[in-house]
Amino acid sequence: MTPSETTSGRWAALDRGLAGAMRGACLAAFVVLIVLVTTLILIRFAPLFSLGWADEIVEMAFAWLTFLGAAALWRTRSHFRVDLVPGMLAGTRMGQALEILLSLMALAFFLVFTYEGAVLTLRTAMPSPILAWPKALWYMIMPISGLIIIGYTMRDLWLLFRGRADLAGEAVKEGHS
Amino acid sequence: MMTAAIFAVLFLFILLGLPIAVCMGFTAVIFFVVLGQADVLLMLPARMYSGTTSFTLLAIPFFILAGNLMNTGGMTQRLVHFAQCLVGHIRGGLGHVTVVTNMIMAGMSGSAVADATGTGVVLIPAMEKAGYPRAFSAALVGAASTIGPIIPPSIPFVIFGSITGTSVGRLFLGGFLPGVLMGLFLMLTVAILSKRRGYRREQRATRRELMISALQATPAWGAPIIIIGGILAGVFTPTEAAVAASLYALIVGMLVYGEIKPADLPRILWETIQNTVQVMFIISAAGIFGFLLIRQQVPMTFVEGLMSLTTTPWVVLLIINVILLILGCFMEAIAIMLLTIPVFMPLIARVGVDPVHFGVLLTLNLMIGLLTPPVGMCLYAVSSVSKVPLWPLAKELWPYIVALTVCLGLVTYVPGLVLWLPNLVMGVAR
Repeated sequence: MTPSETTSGRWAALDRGLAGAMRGACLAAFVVLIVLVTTLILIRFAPLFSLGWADEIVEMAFAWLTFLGAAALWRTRSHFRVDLVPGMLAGTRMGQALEILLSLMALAFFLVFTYEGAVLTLRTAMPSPILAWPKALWYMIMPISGLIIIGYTMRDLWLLFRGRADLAGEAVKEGHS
Repeated sequence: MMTAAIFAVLFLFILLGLPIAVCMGFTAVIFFVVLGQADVLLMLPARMYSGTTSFTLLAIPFFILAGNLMNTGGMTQRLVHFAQCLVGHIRGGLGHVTVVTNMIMAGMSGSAVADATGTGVVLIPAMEKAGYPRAFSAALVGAASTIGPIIPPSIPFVIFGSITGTSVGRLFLGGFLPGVLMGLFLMLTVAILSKRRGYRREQRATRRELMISALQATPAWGAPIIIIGGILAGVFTPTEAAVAASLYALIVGMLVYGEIKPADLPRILWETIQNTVQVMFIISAAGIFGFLLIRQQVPMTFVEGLMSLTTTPWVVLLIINVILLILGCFMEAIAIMLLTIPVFMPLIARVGVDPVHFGVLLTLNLMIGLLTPPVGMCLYAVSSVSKVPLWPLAKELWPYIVALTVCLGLVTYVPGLVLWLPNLVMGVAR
């Protein structure tokens, strides 16, 4: 096995591990949402006990689901986009240049998002009203997801510069399996 | 000028192929920096985060989950069989079956793309086997699926209600008659095309076959009864109805029809998460883009500009419809909704159009956009299911697009079609 194959093997293992972790965390957040929202509804009809804290956990689970899910979908390039022009230019040098440009624009946005998300998380000192947990727990998913997205965007850029955009395509197929 | 520049940059990014959510966020970042307001970027994560915290928006994952459970749990097949026994004997029978199935499915799922995929998988091969051209079948499935978000429940209505503060219950009720009207217009189009092209009739089902198929489909009818009945009776909010529908679909799929196995659940949940996140991340990014529009006073500028041209409500609605139909050709429906609502709502208030009426006509308009190339989500979905290339499919779609546009005209200029039912059930809004 050559050193480069070992390195790519490690990257692939890291990618699989991260994908599994994101999928697992999203599924856990969704199950929490289902259980708590269902319980909240049942309690409204049969007020046997109070579950005031549940609203805060529901908010956290929904935010974690959205942002971590966004990172998982970024990995497989499954976000909505109009692929008319990229589709027309696919396989050409212009197409490759366009994909590089798009990745750079996305990178610029997620750098701002991650930095500002980290600032918000670190500066938020107030606790949540009911559970009195640090509110940073709710916000921290934004810089975490942003970092993951930046990592995958860098991977895509690296593959595009090496003319191996097809490998990013493999990830897309895997994501829909 | 600023309005034009913002939207020009946004549409350029969209056409280049940047993901829609990133287009919105990146446009906002660029304009805040260029205008020397970079300090506002501190608000970016908070604005994006707040987009995900509405309890009303929680209805989205649950309606998607209900749709996925219904498609996997065998409800779709039984409804198709029932519709076949009911209207299959009319000329172009399976065409009418497609429309009727989608009207019933519309009462369970809130997503056109989910309906297009769910019914397409069952109906397109069945129609092809019965001798209908595949492009005709695929086009009809796509057109009929647009009824989904008009007959309640509806994900676009949930989003519209959550952004504008309009009652989602009133929107759900307001969509009922226009949804039925869409179905009737599509059936009329099928009848005309079938007569011209000489499509066959199916053998009329016997009374016994009709009864058996109705009986088999009975558990499937429970979902719309729970959703619509629950909201009508004031028992459920839309989010609660979505949860109840998901639980009901799970119970029917697992225990009554026995087609959902515990091992299927992680896949169904993961598909639901993916569909939810695609929508929610755009909603989240729209938070920062909407903030840019408001800070640059874009809605006010747009209202003043249009009001200087005309103040006649029907002309204003005509202009809005034309703008939305054009946007619908190039953008995804939820994105258009999030972009245009902050701009159009002040205008609508100024000319005295009821927000429920506007919400329904806006959604119907955007549903037509799901069918129009080059960017039409239902067009892509049925093309993928049927393997019919995009352009032959688009060619087959135009009679239905005309029918739906006539329907849009009626809904736009006869507000009673939308407002009669909510006013009857919930009283006239003050």
